[in-house]
Amino acid sequence: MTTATISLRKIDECRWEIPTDYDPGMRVPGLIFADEKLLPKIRDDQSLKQVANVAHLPGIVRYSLAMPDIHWGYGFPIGGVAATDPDEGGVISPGGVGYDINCGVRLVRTSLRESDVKPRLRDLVQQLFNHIPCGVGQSGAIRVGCEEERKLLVQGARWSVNRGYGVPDDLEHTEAKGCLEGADPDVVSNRAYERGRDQLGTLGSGNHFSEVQVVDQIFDEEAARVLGLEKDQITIMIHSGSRGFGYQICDDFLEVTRRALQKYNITVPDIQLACTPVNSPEGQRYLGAMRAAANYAWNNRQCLMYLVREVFERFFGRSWQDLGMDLIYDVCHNIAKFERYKINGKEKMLCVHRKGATRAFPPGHPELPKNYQSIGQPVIIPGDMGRNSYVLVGTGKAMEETFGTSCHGAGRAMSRGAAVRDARGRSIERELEEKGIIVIGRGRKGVAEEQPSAYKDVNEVVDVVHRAGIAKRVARMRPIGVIKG
Amino acid sequence: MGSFEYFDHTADMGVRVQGKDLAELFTSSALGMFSLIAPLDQFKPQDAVDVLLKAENVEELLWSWLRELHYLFSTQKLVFKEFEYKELSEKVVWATCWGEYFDPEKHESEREVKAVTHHGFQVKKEKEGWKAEVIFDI
Repeated sequence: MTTATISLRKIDECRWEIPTDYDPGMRVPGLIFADEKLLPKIRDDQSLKQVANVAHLPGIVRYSLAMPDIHWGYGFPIGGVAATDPDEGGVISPGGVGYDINCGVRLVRTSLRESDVKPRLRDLVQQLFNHIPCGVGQSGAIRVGCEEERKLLVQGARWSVNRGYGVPDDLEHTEAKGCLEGADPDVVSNRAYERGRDQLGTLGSGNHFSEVQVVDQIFDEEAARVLGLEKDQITIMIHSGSRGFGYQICDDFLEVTRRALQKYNITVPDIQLACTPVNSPEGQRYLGAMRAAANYAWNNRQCLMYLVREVFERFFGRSWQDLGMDLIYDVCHNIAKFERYKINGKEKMLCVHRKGATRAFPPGHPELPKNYQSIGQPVIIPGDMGRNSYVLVGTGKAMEETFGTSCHGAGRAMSRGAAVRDARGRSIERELEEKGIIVIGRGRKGVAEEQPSAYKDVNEVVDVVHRAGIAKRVARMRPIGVIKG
Repeated sequence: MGSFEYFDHTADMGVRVQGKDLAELFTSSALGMFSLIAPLDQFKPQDAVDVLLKAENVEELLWSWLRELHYLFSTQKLVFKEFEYKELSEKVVWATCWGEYFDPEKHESEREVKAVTHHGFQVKKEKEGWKAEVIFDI
């Protein structure tokens, strides 16, 4: 099924509107950031219809937004952004955050050059693969009892740092300092606790990965200098989320909100958009649980980074501090947060849903670490395992237009089935190795499903974001070593 | 014997199931889900768990069934491949589920299934039996 029938109004080269007269239930228009090159692919699935569906949500403000990496999700498209006003009956929707609550990426710099790594690259990637639990049924090295699990849900990544899995500077360079206030361990189901217990410090599978990269292009010298990035430098990227703990919370609360629709007299065009007023007991319970999952995810990425630092320490026989392995930044891309924006001249506290979208705050924003005040928040964009990833910085324009939000990745262009069929008779690992990229995956079809051509070209996605001005390019990396679940 | 096949969804995987009766529908749906996680021929039906679920209708029941089996896999790493039904109607399923504990050292895997979604979920009774479609979040 396609959405070719949705007629878009072109605003400029990078902006397209779905007018409210497309569907009488739309409370606000849809606004899609894309160019002529990306649009045909976006029209291939039902994501534009999903942008229009999101515009039905009670209390939605200004626009139902879509980033250029938009693709078909559940209820919300991946790459969808929506802000609701709790004072105007605004809702919170678990589907607007997704199953993998606080799925996100972190980028670690090193003082190593490509030439330091290249001769023993396969060995290094193998050691990362051996040391970092990934794929189906793998337990984490860091197991926690119920009491500890409750603590980490409230404390966020500080819990890991207090146990020696990092340093306070890591927290300074994590979105929200690695902790959302208001997490409520009492509203978390036993099933979520059970699923979370042995998964701390595990990568997972699907699109999650850990990657060794080389900085291959600098676009903004000054911002790159502040971030400690130079051409030919080795960086490490980690992409994972809240694991079974978060999936279970989403599952639990999709059920709660589905059943509460009638109680609050809300109708939604798709049951996966089930939602409840922010200011309702169900809404508050979901927020308490979602924040707990967000805090779980930050602990998970913190523990994963600890494992990466351990591998590098052993491999190079030097401490991670000596190897310059500082955290550049950690961003989440599946979350709902309360943030202040001016709406019709009046400052409002809005509930901003980012489903496959990254916060992109401008220079001078009080939530940024001191050393990034002059450049804006780093926006970390993973691409696919064969092409590139990016670091951008947030802008004032994003604050005006997109509730301080930018894209989150390349976005899928091919279904998993199509990618496996496309890879039949080929070895994706060998093809990538010929390009100088070592990939080790655990699942039998994981690498085929995640092959580069299954994704849109991240360069095109980032180009739109940059041209639209909702984030600014700083540096581009290319992968040389990838581990997948 | 019921059967299942996969259909495409951009980021995830859909399973289309058919069976001549409810037992075939429930078994094939479960096999469709577990086959996403790992190749089933490596597992023996040597450990068993009883599952008893009630729901208001057959859609809710099939969904709860898959959710329950997925939960058992997620927490206990049990991969099920054979099912004996002690009771099965459109509102109740009581089954002994046979399978083996997944061991990452020994068993090959395919991919993690994050959740059983409601997106496009449907169960239909037709002349020749039952059909269902389920999309799994990967």
